[in-house]
Amino acid sequence: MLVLKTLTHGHLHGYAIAQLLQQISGDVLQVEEGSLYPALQRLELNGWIEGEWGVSSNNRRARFYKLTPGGRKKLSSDTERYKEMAGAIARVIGIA
Amino acid sequence: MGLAMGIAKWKRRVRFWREHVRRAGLLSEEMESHLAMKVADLMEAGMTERDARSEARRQFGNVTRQMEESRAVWIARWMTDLVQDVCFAARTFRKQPGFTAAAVLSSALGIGGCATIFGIANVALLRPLPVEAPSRLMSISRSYVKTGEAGDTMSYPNFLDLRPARSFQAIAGYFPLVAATISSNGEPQRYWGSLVTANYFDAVRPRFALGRGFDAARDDTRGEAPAVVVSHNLWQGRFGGDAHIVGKTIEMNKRRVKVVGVTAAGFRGTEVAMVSDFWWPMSMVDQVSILTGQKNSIADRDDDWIWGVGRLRDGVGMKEAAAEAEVIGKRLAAQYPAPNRDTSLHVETAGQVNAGLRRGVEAFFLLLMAVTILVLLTACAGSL
Repeated sequence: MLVLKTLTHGHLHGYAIAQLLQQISGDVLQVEEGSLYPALQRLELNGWIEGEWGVSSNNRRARFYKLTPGGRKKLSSDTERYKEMAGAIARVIGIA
Repeated sequence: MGLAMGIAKWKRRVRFWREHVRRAGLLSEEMESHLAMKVADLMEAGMTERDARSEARRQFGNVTRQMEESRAVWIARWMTDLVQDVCFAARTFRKQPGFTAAAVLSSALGIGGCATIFGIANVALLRPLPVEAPSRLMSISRSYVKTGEAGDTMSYPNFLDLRPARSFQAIAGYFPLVAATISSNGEPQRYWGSLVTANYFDAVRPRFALGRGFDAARDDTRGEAPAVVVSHNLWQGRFGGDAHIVGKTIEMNKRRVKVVGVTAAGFRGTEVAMVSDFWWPMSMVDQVSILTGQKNSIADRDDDWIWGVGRLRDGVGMKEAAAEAEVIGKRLAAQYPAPNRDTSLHVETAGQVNAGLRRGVEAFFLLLMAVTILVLLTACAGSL
């Protein structure tokens, strides 16, 4: 879901996605950058994102990913679910 | 599952599967590019190249492991999808027994049809003859120079002129359309067999269950004591596998004929479409009424009825043999132009569908195959 969310910012390559995740989360989410790649493979296999080879701003060959319509749908439904869940947890904690 | 969606999913999956080797290469290139960008950024922030490299690797984690995990994603995905599809299919089957019955029935028909056709084709077209070195056994037929067609019979005098061909150890002649009624051991019944030259079994060399082939010195002589070789099939079916049948006389077309041998199981002659259950030697040519009705089939060069089957001499290939047969064919055409105009002699490996019938037989099998595949496709489409 997080990866899908970063891709709403446009076409990004793997390194940019990793950086963006780190920046936005304020370095709270510390994961090995490499573990992004199996995740990208999974998303692509499900048809939620599409990768395409291109050239990065500093002239390197890189693979750029973009959301597919299916991915957009998936993101919005996941976001809904997450909001419900987070809301429910918040209420439970609030009551407790 | 919507049909279009299902197909799209499968297409994607097949593509992933097919490309997964190439994909692995691209993925490692992608990771390399990530590391390079990281190193560049770290160096811009003031690190030495060495430090930047090790820091980039540390933050990235184990490249090999990430590769393996990615690969596992592809394969695991493939497997879970498969399991899901199977479960989905099982649920559908339980919910819709009528649909299931139809799907199973049409699949069974399709698969059964394919198996049957393969069974027939295997016997008719693919399996080698059950004889010694079947690839060295050639069938020799008359061909037509103008049309290129082959597979026709030749006259007995032409056959006798072909017989000394040097490419062959032995050339035998046969006529596979002899009908005979056997009246010993039970109700009279008609069987199909061949009239063959006495050297037939020396040239063709099938294995024998009992006894032997004909006596080449004697059994070509018209009017000699009648003899017969029977097939394993006939021996078992008609004579209950009598272990002492060799030497006994049986009644064929109301004449007493001595059994001299029984071929081993599986041998029914060298013609695919015209199987034989018995073999008579040339000495019995007068018993074959269609050959001796009004004609003199032994002497007339314009009475075509016999096919040749020859065993190649060691070290001689089919091409050489074919070339020699053609030379003989040309010579015959020049020597006896009236019956042999525009004809030649054709050599090919024995045991194939007769060259004259082949196109029809192949078309027939193709048609059968097409129909069966259609049934199978219908079954598949119905199950989606």
